Amino acid sequence: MCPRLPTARDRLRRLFAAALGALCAVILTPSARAAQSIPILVETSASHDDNLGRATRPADKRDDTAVRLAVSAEDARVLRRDWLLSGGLAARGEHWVEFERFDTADFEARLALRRRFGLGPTAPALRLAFAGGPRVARVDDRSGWTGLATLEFTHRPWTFLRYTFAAEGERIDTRDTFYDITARTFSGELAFFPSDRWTISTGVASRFGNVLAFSSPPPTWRFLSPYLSTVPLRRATDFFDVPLNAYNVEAATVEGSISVSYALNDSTRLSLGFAYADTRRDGLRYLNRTFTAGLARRF
Amino acid sequence: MRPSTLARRLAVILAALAVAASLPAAELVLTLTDAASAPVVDAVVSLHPLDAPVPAPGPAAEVEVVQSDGEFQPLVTPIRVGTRVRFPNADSIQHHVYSLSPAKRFDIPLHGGASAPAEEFPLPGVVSVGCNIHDWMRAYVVVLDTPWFALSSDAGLSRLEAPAGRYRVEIWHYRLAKPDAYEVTLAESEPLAAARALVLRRDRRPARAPESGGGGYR
Repeated sequence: MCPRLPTARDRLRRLFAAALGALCAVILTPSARAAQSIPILVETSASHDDNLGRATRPADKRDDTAVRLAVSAEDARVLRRDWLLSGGLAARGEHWVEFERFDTADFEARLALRRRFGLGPTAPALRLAFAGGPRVARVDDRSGWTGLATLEFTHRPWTFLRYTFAAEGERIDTRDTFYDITARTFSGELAFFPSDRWTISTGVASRFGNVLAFSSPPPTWRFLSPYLSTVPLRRATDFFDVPLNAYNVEAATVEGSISVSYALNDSTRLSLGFAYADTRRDGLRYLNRTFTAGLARRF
Repeated sequence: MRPSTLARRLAVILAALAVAASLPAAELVLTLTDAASAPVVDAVVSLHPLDAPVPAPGPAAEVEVVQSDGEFQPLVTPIRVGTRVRFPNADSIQHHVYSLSPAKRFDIPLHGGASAPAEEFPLPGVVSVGCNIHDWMRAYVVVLDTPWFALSSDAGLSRLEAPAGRYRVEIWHYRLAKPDAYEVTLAESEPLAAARALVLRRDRRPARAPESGGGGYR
């Protein structure tokens, strides 16, 4: 009998187990805790998306909840008075409760260079960051490599207010090029700190790039329609409970978001957020409303 | 410094100390509370003589403000003018200690476990100290031109001993909009016990708790 080849699901399980094992070793082993001084950040969140497949037809819309776990560690070094170099590693997992074929796990290395124009939290800062690494997806064809470059300007003119402008370039190279993603995003965020515990932030973002959208297979005669002929990539999938076609299309998304967070203590923060995304392409419109509740704890 | 100058300075210091010691000592016991009647901790209470000269500072002392577990310890350090302060880093991560306060400007990048030469604080004033890497870290060095000062305890209590006489009492706290000041006359017969209610502002320092989504070093 031939040994069974490991599937993407097996690899996902193994990587999750390794990441959780390493985390437990660091947190629970007293000697390891004493030796490590680089803080480890653990973030968990649950997020509900009312239109996971970016469908336009009501019959094709599926909502689902994702649970996410991220573990990261970052350290920084002063290069010169105003220059700070930081680097770190992160592991992230995302599990969709109902449509688990969207599950992914990311392993990421991060490097950032920050230039502060002065000293202290109220000095404006420019930050160039790179993050990237392997992605393992439950659907093997979506596994591959992710990369993100960010240029960010942050200013906190008063201790109670901070604004941020960012430009991002994103690239995901997958095993099956159908799932490749290239996108650029411009965003702005305003954060208000009414006290040292509360944070209220709101943001807008404009993204242009690939998105995956799903819809029922069209009747055969519609393959001749002018619209479908403009969609270059289409794939029959089993991501959902019914067969839906996936379309990889270039689209423009405008997103607005608001979040409130509360620091329980110096190492733990709870957050609640809502985001509304409007994605358009050639007269088609995909709407997404996302509610997220998160907990971040630094060890 | 030439030996004769040193001897002259020592003589002045000893004479000032002798005068101070010869004066009858009086005591001020001050209890500080906030608007909710909770004790005010880490307030600096100082006495500034109104009818007598301030004694000359003694030999320069040296104190430490340590970076430990991502915080400065202690939060508030009252010192006399001319005192030297060291900022050793007891953490194994790097800190970048700085001050932009007019009374003393400096910045010292410090690798884990390292220390740097002590900084002298020659001018009176409040020196706000921070870390340019970890924005939540802060400390205050309160530089005073009087030898009579105290830091309020967990119970909000400050106990000061000084020669009998008329003084201006100054109370500084990092959450006060401006220092509180009033006059008092200390007599040698018995300690003067007083209570003072302070109106404190909201603490708006950057939070240490992690930001949602990580945030990194922004």
